[in-house]
Amino acid sequence: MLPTSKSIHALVRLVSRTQLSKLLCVAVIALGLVSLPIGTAWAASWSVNSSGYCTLWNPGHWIAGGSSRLSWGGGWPWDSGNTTGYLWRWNGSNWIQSSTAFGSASGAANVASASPYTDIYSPPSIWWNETGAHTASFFSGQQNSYGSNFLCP
Amino acid sequence: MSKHKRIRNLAIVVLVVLGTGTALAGMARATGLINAINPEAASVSMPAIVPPLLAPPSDEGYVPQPGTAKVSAPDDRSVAQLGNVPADLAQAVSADFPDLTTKDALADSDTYYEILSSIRYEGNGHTVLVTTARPSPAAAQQAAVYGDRSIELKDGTVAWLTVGLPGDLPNRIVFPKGDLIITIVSDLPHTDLENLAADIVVH
Repeated sequence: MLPTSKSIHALVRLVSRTQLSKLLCVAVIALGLVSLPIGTAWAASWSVNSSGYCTLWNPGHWIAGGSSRLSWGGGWPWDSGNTTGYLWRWNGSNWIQSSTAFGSASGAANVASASPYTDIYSPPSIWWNETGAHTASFFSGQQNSYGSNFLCP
Repeated sequence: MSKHKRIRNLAIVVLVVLGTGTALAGMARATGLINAINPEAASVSMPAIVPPLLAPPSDEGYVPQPGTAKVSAPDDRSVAQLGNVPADLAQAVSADFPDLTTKDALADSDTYYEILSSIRYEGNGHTVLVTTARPSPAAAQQAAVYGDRSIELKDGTVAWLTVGLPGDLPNRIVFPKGDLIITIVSDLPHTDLENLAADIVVH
């Protein structure tokens, strides 16, 4: 027997008045239970760090560079991480943002690294510093990393 | 009121509460002059800059100061310092005032942090360093994170704590004061540092 228009309307009214709210509640709870472990997919372990270096590239041509990294393992295949590295130059009274780099990676275990650098020609002896900002699917907010000051000749 | 309306109203209330909570959690801790945000509120798509706030290590610029007296700058720059220097930190007090004329080569559009002063307190095998920094106009506008977690000092000031920094002074507290960024670092436990931070005055 095919449903008549009247019976369909009656069914819709019944669902909308009595069952729809219950169905919605069940759907929301089910969605929450499914998405919770995905949204808060905590990696088993992670670490952040920043460091810097100064190297002679060619005669009279130096490179000041930094490396900021977010490493993790024991996570989920859909985990991801981002790193922004900031290289700072000291000019005697100011820390000046010299260059910035960004890196990202994904997977159950991986490394998101960023390596900003600046070319220096005939430099005076000056200090540099590398810092990092890290975000990921397996922790909330931003984690920071702080490198030690390093001196370029 | 029908059951359907009650459920609808309840859903609206839940949504409003959730929305308000999310908005408050993400609210920037801005002073109005400096765009400082809590590390907990930073988003994946918009990481905040992390500036260095201490002058490079050098003993050359530090000039000895009278133990517990107020430290004054040679010019009209701001100097953050301990309001009441504990006797065990007053064994050696010294100050460094960088030459600010190097700023002349920079533009307002550059992102930089000017270190105005560094006051060093030493005694009983411990060191406390208080520095005053001023971000450039561009740096003040850019979202920045000044520590690993937000705390509240005993005077109610919102500050940011970082522990485990590289070097000899691993614990750090930073807080904004007007257009300045005040930093205190030490090898003392961070609980002691929180008490000292609440006692900082700016002259």
